[in-house]
Amino acid sequence: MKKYLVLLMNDFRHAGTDPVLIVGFLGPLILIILTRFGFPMTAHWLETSYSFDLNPYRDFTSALFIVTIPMLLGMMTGLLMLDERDENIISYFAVTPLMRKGYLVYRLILPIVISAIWSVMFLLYSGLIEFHIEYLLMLVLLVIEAPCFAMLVAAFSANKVEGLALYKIGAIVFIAGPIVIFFVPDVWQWVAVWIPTFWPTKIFLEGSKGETFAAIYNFIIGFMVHIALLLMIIRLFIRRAD
Amino acid sequence: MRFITAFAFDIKFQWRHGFYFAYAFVCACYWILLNYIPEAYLHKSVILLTFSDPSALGLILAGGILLLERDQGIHDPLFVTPMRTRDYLFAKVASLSCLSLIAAWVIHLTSIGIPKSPVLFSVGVVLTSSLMTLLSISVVVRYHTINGFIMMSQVYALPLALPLLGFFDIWNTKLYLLPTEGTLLLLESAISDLTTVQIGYSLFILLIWNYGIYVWASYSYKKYVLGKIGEGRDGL
Repeated sequence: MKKYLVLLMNDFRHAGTDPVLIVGFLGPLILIILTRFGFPMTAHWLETSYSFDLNPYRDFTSALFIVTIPMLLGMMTGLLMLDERDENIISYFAVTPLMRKGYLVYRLILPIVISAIWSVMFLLYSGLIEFHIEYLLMLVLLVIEAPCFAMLVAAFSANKVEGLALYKIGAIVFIAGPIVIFFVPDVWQWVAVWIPTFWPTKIFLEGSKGETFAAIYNFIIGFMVHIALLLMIIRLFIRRAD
Repeated sequence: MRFITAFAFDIKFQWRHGFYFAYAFVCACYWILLNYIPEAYLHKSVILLTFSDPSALGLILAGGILLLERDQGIHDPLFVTPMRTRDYLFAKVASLSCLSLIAAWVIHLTSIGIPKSPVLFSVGVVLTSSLMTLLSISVVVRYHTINGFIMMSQVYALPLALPLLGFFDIWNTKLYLLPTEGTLLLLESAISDLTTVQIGYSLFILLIWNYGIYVWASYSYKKYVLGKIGEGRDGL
């Protein structure tokens, strides 16, 4: 535990120069503020300027923004890991008592914790969401998505330039989850089950309708999908690092 | 000749690292998305997408390329050759502008069709892309990590997005001193006619800004990259 604390303190010390932590804290905070105050203003402006009613899309907006939080933190972590791999820092960690496994655990736990905190804050303070108990299941899946996204970028990219290209694709795929759930007809939705954000969004929608049993059922499947995906990507990352 | 060589190398580099594949995917997604946008909002949506993505792609990608080149120590041997900073910067600008132009055209062709004024539309995309690429290079040389660069590039680029407020009629004041006011006008030439004054203004403001940012990028590159050559990676 002490070795992780040393790393954490080191990251805090360097937060000014390597702003993963700053963005990790500021990004979701800005998102919450923008949602709380920006959504009503945007809805009013669209209504008056274009006669467009944004309110029916309130749940969609909430789902879209809440999946963005782990995605943002995952991307920052993934790019940081690519930076560290490009500079051979991961190889140095591998020969310290921390070892490569310890490095991975440390790098992945931080976005999990920060995602959990900010996702809860978003649920409570965005002003768009009425809390339902089923949302706790959604939170579990959301926090697994941060390391999934981080590892996806880190495992499939040879360097940071490829990481940026992959991030572009990954971000669109992750955003596709809420879009499919809210806008694609029932049967066709199942084409998107491989997209991680499909599952928390589905639970979100079911939670908002009070369909507890369906939410639990989809949580079990979604949880297995997330864990399988995470383990597969971690294995790939380790093989690539070797 | 040096420029042509550097340009060809940059295109190959971007192809190898999946930029073209990534943008093919992005364009396909935009095509699907734009199919579902009601006709009344389609034009504004297409201009917004072209403005925020293909035109501005150099902002992040150019910085990432430069950081990788720095990690790999490419600049040290590169400038032992007759390659000049100008060739290097122009090659980056031209190669990323090609990608911007192709992506912007694909988005337009698949949603609205051929732009009403293809030349002005293309000039708008290229001049904005070059501006963003040069801005990216000016910023990235000051940072050592990709996350630090991404965060700061957004801070520098944020004011350039302000003309969007006027574009969406959120406020009526035009920000004529910002180059992106010209960008939006040139992109609008794809769907409506521009007056001679509007064309002249757009070209003037974009060219002036491109020149200014080029001078800044060249100065920054010489100071923070070439000035450190020979110090090794630790010195960078």
